[in-house]
Amino acid sequence: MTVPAEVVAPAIGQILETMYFCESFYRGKGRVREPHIGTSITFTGAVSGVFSLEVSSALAARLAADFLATEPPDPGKEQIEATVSELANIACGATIGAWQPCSNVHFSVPHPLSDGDGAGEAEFTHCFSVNGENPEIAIEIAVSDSRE
Amino acid sequence: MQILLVDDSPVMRRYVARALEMTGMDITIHEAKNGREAIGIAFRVRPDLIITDLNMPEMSGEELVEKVYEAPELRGTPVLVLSADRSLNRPRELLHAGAIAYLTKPVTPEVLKRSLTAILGVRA
Repeated sequence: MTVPAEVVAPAIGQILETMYFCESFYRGKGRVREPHIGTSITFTGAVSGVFSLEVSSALAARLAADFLATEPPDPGKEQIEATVSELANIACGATIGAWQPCSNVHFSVPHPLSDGDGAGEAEFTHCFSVNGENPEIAIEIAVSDSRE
Repeated sequence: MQILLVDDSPVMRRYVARALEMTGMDITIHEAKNGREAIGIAFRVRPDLIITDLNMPEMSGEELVEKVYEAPELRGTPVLVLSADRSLNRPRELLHAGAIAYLTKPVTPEVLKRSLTAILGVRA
């Protein structure tokens, strides 16, 4: 079962615009081909699975700076990682909520993925760019069980 | 005015704090990273408003709402839930447990400001 682009694209676009003040472009399948920060959230209930999100380190730093309205030397590494975790938290809730609007689903707290020092290897179903055409945000929603 | 922000995400606490500062109100902000910490602070400072996330380690926002409602010293303290959780029944459950409002993320500073004004205005 796949969460369609018609659900994911507007949900993520609205979050990026509303809370991170940037315009995004949906790019479909792909991967973040530069150093990135990743996090995942497990969801259970009417639908169950894992929501994974990766953001290029460069974009993550910009999102954190805009989100927190910080000046250099901030945002620091911890703030950037926390911003990505919060983005995943909001994105997961908004996406699953838009996909299954009449359901009850519980979400785990975000868990960091691997250190993200290398280029992304896995292809994600939903990618977005903010600067240029290369994917800078990648999202995979692996649905393992649906009771709907 | 004393406002207690409860969220395990430090960046979200900062985001909300900045939105509160933008209201221009005379606000003292207290922060807690989970419900357990929040209860301790709430007993100490008796906040005029608690703004809480739901999904937090150690003690969730649901438990916090229940404990605020159950504690005679804190009963009547308005609790605004601010969560990414859009599950169908969650707002109803939280409002039934004692929360005064339920906002879903993403939320703009303007929406937060309007909610704050409405809640504290209604209370006044």
